[in-house]
Amino acid sequence: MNSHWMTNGRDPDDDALLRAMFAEGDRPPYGDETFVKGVMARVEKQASSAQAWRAAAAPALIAFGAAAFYPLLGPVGAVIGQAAAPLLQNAPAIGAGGLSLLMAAAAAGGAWLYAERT
Amino acid sequence: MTPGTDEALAKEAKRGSTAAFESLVRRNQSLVRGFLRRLTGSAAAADDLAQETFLLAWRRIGSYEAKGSFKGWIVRIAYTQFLQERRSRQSAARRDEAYMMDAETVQNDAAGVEAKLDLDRILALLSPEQRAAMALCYGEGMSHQEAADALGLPLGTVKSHVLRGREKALQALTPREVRA
Repeated sequence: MNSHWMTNGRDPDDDALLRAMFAEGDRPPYGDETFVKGVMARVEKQASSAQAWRAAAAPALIAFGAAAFYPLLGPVGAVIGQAAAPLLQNAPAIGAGGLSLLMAAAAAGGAWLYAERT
Repeated sequence: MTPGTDEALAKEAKRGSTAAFESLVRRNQSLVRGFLRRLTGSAAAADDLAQETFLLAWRRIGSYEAKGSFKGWIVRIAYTQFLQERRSRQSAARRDEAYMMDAETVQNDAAGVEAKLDLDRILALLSPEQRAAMALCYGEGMSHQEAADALGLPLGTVKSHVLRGREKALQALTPREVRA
């Protein structure tokens, strides 16, 4: 912050007068705790309601995701299982149902992570 | 970044620390409220806007980047809030009511009253942009560049606002006040 520019080619007394008027006229006090407490009460309220929303939204998102994708789990699982079968020849066989369960768990985890971050 | 600076506190607030944000409010409330008082001409309306400014700052703290000063960032939010409020017809009506209430509760200190009246007289002559530029440059000691960054205006525009506002202000003051 500087104010040397104000004196360039102008009467410094005029600038000093304006500075005094703008700086001193009706300025709120530093450390006005009443104002600070008022703001922080609203901030805390907002922070806690955001937290509550996240806490409620995560299970809701998971439930919605599960409900929306449940009918597709079987067919999608079968397709992926078929595609992955050559890679899993030596591994214990994973049926379409097992794969569906894995996908549901991954989707739920993703939804929970998303809710936590937003 | 030095610990304890506004920028360091803002970084902590970004991580969710309400204690750090409270320190920022405590440090900057006088600046923001003073600036908004120059713009609105009303202590009550300015304090309402200042509350909204800090609340919005808390919501947007995640987008704060410590490239510029925190002061500049918060003043910019305050100025945007003021412009939005000004555009709203409903809010303008409420502000007028606040002006009326303020006129009734003006402080009793004689020198303070005289100074406030002079300032009010000057502010009434200035456009909002001139008021904002002069409040930052004269009231807060910001450079033209800092004021331009805070207001989101080109440097030349801010210089012009300050120059024209200064001319109007000096014309409004009596010779005694200017040359005493």
